[in-house]
Amino acid sequence: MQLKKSKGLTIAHAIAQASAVLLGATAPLVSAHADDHGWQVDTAALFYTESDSRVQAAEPVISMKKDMGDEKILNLKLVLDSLTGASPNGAAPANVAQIFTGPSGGGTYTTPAGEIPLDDEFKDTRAAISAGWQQPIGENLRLNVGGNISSEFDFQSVGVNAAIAKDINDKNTTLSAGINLEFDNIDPVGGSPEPFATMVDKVAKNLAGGADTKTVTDLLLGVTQVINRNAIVQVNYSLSMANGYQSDPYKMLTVLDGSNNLMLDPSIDNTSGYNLYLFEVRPDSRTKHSLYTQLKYHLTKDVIDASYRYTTDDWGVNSHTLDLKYRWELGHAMYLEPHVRWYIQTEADFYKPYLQAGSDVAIVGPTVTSNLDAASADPRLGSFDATTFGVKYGIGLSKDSELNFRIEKYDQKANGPAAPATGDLAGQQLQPDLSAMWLQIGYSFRW
Amino acid sequence: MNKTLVLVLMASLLGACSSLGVKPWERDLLAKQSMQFNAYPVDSGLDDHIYFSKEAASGGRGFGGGGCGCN
Amino acid sequence: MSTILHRLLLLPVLLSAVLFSSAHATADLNLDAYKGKVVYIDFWASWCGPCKQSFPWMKAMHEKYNKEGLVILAVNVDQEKKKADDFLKEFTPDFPVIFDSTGTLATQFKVQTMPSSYMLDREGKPRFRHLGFHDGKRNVYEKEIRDLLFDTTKSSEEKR
Repeated sequence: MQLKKSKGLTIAHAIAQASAVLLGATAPLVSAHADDHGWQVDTAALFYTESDSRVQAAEPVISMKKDMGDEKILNLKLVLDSLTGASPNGAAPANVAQIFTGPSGGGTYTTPAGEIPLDDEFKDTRAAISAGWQQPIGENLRLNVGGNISSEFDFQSVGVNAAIAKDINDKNTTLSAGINLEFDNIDPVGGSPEPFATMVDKVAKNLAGGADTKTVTDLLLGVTQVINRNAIVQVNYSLSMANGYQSDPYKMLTVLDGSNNLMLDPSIDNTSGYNLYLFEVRPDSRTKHSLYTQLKYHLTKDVIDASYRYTTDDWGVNSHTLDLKYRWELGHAMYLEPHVRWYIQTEADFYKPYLQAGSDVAIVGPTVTSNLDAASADPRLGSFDATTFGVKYGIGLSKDSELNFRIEKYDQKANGPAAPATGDLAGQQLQPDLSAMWLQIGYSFRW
Repeated sequence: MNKTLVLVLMASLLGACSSLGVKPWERDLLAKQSMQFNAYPVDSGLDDHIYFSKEAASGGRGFGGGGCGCN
Repeated sequence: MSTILHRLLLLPVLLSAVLFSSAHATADLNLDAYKGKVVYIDFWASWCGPCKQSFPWMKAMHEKYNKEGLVILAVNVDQEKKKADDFLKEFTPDFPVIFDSTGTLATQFKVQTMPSSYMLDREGKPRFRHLGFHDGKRNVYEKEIRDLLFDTTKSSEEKR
């Protein structure tokens, strides 16, 4: 959860994920709760914090599921997200202090020497609602449909999804196919900058576009197979196609001169002597393939949950994710579930921790032109590996209710290129590491 | 990624499928909440959101199947 | 329903096999004791959600029609007996429960989904099968019971 500005772009997919999760969630209402047509309610509060006091967030969630009879299930979910903090603005850390203008062009903020430039401190609230409906439409054939809406002041997203699932082989095999369509409206503070506009230009010439839009289409195919009484496995392939505005309207890139030093913005409007920074540009389209497999294995009492995901896209990002959980039944309706996740990704083709004047950027007098089609210094698109360690503790308070606590620690280690040996960036770590921790308290009950 | 490899994998899984499985009355363990693929959707929703905002890959998680197979 | 009848023609053969074969590890379904009665055999488990609805309904049917000649036999397929016992403590049936943890009876009845029930008429002939327990079909299920209990003339005509 970054600052809302960059977070705006994350919401779209977050909601898509929420609906994808919803699709999975409405598969057979688990046996224990099909009795009295009440609501199965899951509530949780998440507290998230990043190292160096970057971003902090509190996120309450309420999710409700009701068996409407005749195998029909209704699902509703509300998420509120309140965050404060700052996230990297894309400029590289330097051996000197750097001054930046805020997104509305009004104020400025200064990054001390040796620190990762973070944009202005911010406070924002987001609300997201999703709903889903599941029902049988034939023999061993189920349909899921759903929709979702998310809103914060600079970003709105609306989506619909549908999926069908067919059971065969005595319900030992389930074939699934689904589609998710999403439409996003991005309305950044101060408008979105022209591609590769300079920081000075944007403020001086008020080059604000109107709102920008993006559409995302996801297709999913899956097979679930019962292996034996103790084991079940799932394999999913998904294709995601995004079209439209995908840049982060608040992120920029540092430009270095021939000696690898920061440069003064050559614009005649640069009366305050700001450095030259260019706003990033990402391609208009992104096609992503993902292969995911998960295994659930029941030992005598405990359960192992293992999953692996591989993704690849035409932005050049490839990733591997391995996730392991072990649910250790402690007796007396208590369990402890340690968790570990390993993640590694390659950088996007257009990822650049900084731009080089002369090659990437042409500077003729006061005119600055990019020679590149796309460039971004967003650490999210860099090469890194990340490890998560966590543990969850749960206790059943009654037949139908559970209280649980979960804590996770996330560490991201950058694998990006080193800074030039000489100049203003010498000795700096261009791509930041990240550490984050979150605590979740959950309570599930029947109502 | 070799798309044909993916399709071959899934097709072979389908082929192998008919010899695997349990009888309808042997689904006691599969019916447990802890044996569902997305046993705690609230947890995975929150985590997916965090990972989405920090990483370039996202999604992929699926779908239905499993459970008690009742009705 | 006719396809079910066709399929269930095998059942008397199976039932006789059950009755006359020796050395059954678990369940013994002695249907001799129920000749002249309408028998409702229900396969259930503690982990089966719809069973939590079928049990109260079966109790109601038992209360209403037991004196008219309805016999309900609840065959449990739980592999952990404690879970079945806990379920029974909660639902307290008045009708007999048979434990079939190895699934012998379930196999012989070719149970396809949980829960499943089979209805035999007063002559011991299988007449109806239910795949699952559907709330909306309670009236249909009850009508079938009534048909078997009260329309004995109809069933003897069908035999010819």
